[in-house]
Amino acid sequence: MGQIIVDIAEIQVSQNASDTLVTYSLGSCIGVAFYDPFASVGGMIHCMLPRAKLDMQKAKEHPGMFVDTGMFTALTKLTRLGLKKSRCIVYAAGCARVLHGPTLFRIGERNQALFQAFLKKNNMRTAVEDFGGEASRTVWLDMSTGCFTVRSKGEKTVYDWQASFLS
Amino acid sequence: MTGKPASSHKQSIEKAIREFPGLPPMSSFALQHLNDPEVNYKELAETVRYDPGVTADVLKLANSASFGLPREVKSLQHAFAMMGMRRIFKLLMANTALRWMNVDLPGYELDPQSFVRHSAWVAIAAEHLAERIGEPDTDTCFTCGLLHDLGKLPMDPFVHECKNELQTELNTENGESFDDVEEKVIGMNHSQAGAMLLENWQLPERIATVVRWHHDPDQAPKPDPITGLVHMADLLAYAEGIGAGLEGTHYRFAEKTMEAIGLTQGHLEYAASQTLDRMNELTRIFVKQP
Repeated sequence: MGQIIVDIAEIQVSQNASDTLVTYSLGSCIGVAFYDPFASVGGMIHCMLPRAKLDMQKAKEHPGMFVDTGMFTALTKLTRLGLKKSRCIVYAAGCARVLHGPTLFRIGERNQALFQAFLKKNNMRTAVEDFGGEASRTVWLDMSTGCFTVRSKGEKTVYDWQASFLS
Repeated sequence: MTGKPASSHKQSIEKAIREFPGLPPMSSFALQHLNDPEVNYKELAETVRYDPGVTADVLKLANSASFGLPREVKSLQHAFAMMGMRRIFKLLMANTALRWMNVDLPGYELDPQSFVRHSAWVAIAAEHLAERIGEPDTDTCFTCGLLHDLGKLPMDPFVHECKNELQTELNTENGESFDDVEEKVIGMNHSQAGAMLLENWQLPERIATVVRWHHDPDQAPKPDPITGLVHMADLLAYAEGIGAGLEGTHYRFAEKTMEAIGLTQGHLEYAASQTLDRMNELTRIFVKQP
């Protein structure tokens, strides 16, 4: 096992503690990592756009392209592997405000808003949200510890769900 | 720091552009017969066969969604006969350019896959947006999108040499667009270098002009909707994280041009959703997976 790359518009899941899930260069896209420490199940998505109603056919082919179908499909897959929503740690990063100014490029903000609405509706919360700014991000989920790492502008930040629960 | 003045780099880049390989026989033949209705497709297919290993890729490309043939074709001659010169030129330029772009650009911090993906994305998205706004010459729009960053090939060694200075300028966060930073530090930017290269190859003037102004369409002496479409498709690629390297997203947004074209957020999001698969299809032809 080893590194599992989550390509743009993809959903990947893992049950193996020796795996690391990674997704590269999130601009206004959103990267979401899920981790259930008790079931040792985790997953990651890299969604480009907010709503699947833009093109339902594409959403069928690539549910991970959109935030709404991506979140739903990832959670369905993970639940089948034993993940429980009630104990699921959710990390999210991306939604950069690429090119500040023009309203035409508010894709990041729209992704973020829809993601937050989805969690609220499902009674879930995030351990970490690293959103906005103008920089691109790369994120990792370490399946052995459930730690989430964000690299942006050459700097890495490691987030540990246990610490976020203690604080 | 290299300490060399920008003007001395400029002369070296101009030399590198003059010494850059010429178009391969097939693209050059297509270029010469671009406006020739009597072109001999058999002769054209022969020129492709002189490039070993290329025939299979050209056929895959011809059969990809980006070329919209009604059914699968098995021979080049057959593909050409169904396409018309404009589309054949688009096909052969795509083959030449994507093959060349499959290299590492350490200066711009682009690995082969990123450069091919970015160029394919901009070609496909620009063509898609052209269809949406009723721009008639969608094939030229594709070709301009494909070639918009070609200047990064001859520029890369110079960007690599001046990286510290470029990075210092970018980090000042004064909102300067990367092409301006390139010009200030190295004496030329990749849009100018690309246009010069295309002029040397004697490509149609419109293509070189679009490439020249793709980061600054508001300042172009003659407004051209294709320049605006390529500009927009390029920014959309950066927004979606396709092929951002050294420069990140340090580019200006040409408000005047965009207002004139009249694209909406919906147009852009739909274009992004339609571009991904086709970009992956083209990338798979040219970036061989281990």
